[in-house]
Formats: sequence, C-alpha cells, structure tokens
Amino acid sequence: MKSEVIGLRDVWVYHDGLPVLEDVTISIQRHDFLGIIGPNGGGKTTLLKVMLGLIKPERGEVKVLGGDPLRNRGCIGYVPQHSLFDHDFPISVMDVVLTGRAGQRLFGSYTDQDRKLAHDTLKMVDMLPFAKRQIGKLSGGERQRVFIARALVTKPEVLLLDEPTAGIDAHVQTEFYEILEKLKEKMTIVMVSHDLTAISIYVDKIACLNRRLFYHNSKELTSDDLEATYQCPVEFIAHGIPHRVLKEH
Amino acid sequence: MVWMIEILQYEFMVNALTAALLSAIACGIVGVYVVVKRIVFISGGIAHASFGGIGLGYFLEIEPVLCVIPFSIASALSIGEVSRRRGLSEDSAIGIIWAMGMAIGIIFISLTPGYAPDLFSYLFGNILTVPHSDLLIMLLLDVVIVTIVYLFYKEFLAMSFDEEFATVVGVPAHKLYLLLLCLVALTAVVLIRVVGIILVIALLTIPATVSRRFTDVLWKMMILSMIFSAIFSITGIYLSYLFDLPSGSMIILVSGVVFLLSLLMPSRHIFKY
Repeated sequence: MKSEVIGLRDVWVYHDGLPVLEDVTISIQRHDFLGIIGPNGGGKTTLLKVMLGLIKPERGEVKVLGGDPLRNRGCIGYVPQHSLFDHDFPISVMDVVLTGRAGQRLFGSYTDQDRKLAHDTLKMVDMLPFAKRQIGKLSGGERQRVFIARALVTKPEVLLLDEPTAGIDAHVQTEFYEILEKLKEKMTIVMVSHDLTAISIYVDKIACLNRRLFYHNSKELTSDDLEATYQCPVEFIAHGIPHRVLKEH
Repeated sequence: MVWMIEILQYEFMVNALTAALLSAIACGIVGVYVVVKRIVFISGGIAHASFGGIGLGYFLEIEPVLCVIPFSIASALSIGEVSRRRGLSEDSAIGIIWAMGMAIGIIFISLTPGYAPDLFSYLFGNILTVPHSDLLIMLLLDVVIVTIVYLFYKEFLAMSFDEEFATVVGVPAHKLYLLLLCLVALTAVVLIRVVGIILVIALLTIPATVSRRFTDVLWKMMILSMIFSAIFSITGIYLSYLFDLPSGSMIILVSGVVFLLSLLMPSRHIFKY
C-alpha cells in the first residue's frame, strides 16, 4: 500500500529577501527512489534541509510521516555533502557512525545496543575492517559508505542524500549505487545529484529543481528521457521553460 | 630534580605549581575542543572580553576573579548568539565583543579611585602570586568543566564533528555549542592567574595542537594535552625563577618552542589509533 512519507505544499523559502524555493509542492510516497536534479544554486540542498526541519519555510506546509519534521527527525537518515567536513578531525570511523545515535538519549555514553547497531551497519556497508581508522584516512568512496552507515544507524524510514557521488571515482560510484539498490527495498530514498547518468539508471522517479520544482511522479526513464534530462538544467537557464522538456517523459 | 625540592620550600612556589596543575586540567580538556572545533579566535575574543569583569571587580571592590566568571560567560553567550546572525560575519562579531569587553574593563578601572595594583598581573599573569583563595576557585571550575565534559562527551563529539548532522539526529547542537563557549569562558578564568588574559589563547591552543600530532582519539588528546600543559607551565615557572623573568611569558615561550619542535617530528608515530 502506498502512503505519503514526505509532503511539501506551496513551500516558499527566501534567503536575504530572494526566493530560493518558489511554491514547491511534492508528495513522496513510501518506497519511492526519487532523484532531484537541477543546476547549482537551484535550491536542491535547501529543499533537503526543509525536509529535515533545518530550514523553516516562510510559507507553505511540510509534513514528514504526517507530522512536523522536527518531531519525526529520527525517521530521516541524512547524508550531507561530504566535502563539507573537516578531514583532520580526530574521530574514528566507528565513532562517526555512533554519532548517528547521539540524539537517542542525553547524558552518558552509548549503550550496547547503540554499539551493536553501529557494528552491524558498518558491516552492511563493508566498512567494518576500517572501524578504528581515523575518518580522514579513507578514500572518498569509503568515506561515503561510512556516512551512509551513520545515516542508517538510526533505522530511518527515509534516506536523504545530497550529492553523494561528487568527487568519487566512477567504478566506486557503481559500488555505491549498488548499496542504494539494496536499500531501496526497505526504505524511501531521495537523492540530490547532478550525476544524471546514474540518476537515470538507478532512480525510479525524477524531479527537476531550479527554485521551482517540476515533478510528474514519473517512472521508468527511456533513453529519450535521459537525453531530455541532460538538457533539463540547460534548457531551464536558457529559456525558463523546463516543462517542455519534462513533458516528453 | 634538586631544584624542585629547593623551590618547594617556598609556599608561593607550592601555590604556583598547584595552579599550574589545576590550569592544565581545564586547558587540556577545553583546549582540545577549541582546536578541533576551530574556535580559536572565538576563544580569544571570550578571554579578552572577560577583562571587563576584572574592571567591574575593581569598581565594585569585589574579588576580580569572581567578577570575571559571570562577565566572561555573558560575553561567551553573546559571541555565540551574535555570530550566528545572518548578515553579520562571525569574525566581525568576535572582534566587536573582544574590544567592547576590554573597553568596559578600562572604563571601570579609570572610574575606580586610586591605582589598580595587580592590573598588570591580570593581563599578563603572575603565577608566583596566586593566593590560596584563587586555587580554590580554580579547583571548583575544574570540577565543573570535568563533570560537564564527562556527561556530554558523546554529544560534544557529535556536535564538534558535524553540527548540522547532530541537529538532525536530535542532539541540541546549538545549545551544546553555547555550553562549550561557556566552558571556554571558565577556562579563561582559570588561566588568567597563570598566563593572563592576553596569553590565555596560547595555553588553549598549543598543548592541544601538539598532542594532536600524537593521536587521532579525542580523549587521548585531552590527556596528552593536560600533560603537555602541566610540563610547559612547570618548566616555564622554573625558568622564570631561574632567570627572574615574567612567568606567564616564559610558559608561553616554552610552549611555543615545543610546538615548533613538534613540527619537526613525523606525526602520529607514537599511538597509531
């Protein structure tokens, strides 16, 4: 049975008086694997942060599992843009994954259950042998798997990924998408990316965002779609008529 | 070690060494957060702004160190809040509060009749004149710092590594950040007697930076950094006694030299993990 996991209705977000998201409406259903594409500065990260409750929209309504996003934070796993973290930070792979459990209860150390979950999640992404390694001493692909594990350790129903394959070698990207393939059986996945090839191969639905969101709940991309998708952001900037492109789905 | 026995016969030396050890606890722990979270400049701002509290203490004829505690916490919270405002860059906010605090201190001192005798020791530290009462305050602040860090170790680690992700998983990251800045404020108070307001930032950063070269584990960094800080302070005190030079500056000079030497060493060879 399908049901709405994340719903945005008429959402407007402004940054310094300029709109970043304009009238965004989307309904993400259980077990969707949604790819969001769009040009840089088109509001993709902002959209994810709205879903996470990190940014409160000026206008509009955000529902996560039917409720306030702040109340349902534990239900969403988040993989932020990996370029943003400090590679020299003195923290091990295991401790990074454990931070996913840090909000479960305040005070004191992690429970045995936290550690077991972290252990199992690391095993699932094949990173257990690296558990004691400092986070900066990993390759880009390995690190990304650790961040997936950190997001999954809360046992979320939805996984939000922000440019997960940026700066990762092509063959490592394939391994990474295979992990997502396995996950999509169990959860809803929303992935922001400008890796259009991968999006077209792996995702089930696609949305295009450049302040306004264009989404037709569409599935199954063909090669024509692929071509159209490639042009989508380009067309968008050039003519501001993305619908023409997307209608060809 | 003969010099140790020799100087331990003086009460002021016993007090000085006790102060060195007590301050090593605070700056060893909090300094590690300052370094890994990269809030060195904020911490400098908090330490300098706390001078306002010294001035207020003179003016109200209250023990200045007691007056510094609420004042430095207030400046920590205002730096933490103001620097988050949109449209105001963090370093501008720090610079403004840094200078405001010092200006307030100087105004209070000039409003106070008579001459402020220990003023110089608050600015540049004089560990050789630490009174008993200050040792008690330092011990108390150490207990507060150790307790808070013990209770919130995992939350502080999560917040320091990735504030936004910590927020997403339900850690009150911004509140913890403000709490961390308050710990920096308390550490500054502990260190005022040792190296003085102006040099606080050196003891918050140098021991932690040196210890980072030995380990990748946060709590090990804290322990190493306490040890380094204690060694730097005791060596500095000894050299200042030997050459009759200001103790605060000698402590910083020793720390700086060790830091430079540590750069020559191939990093992280002692503890692999």
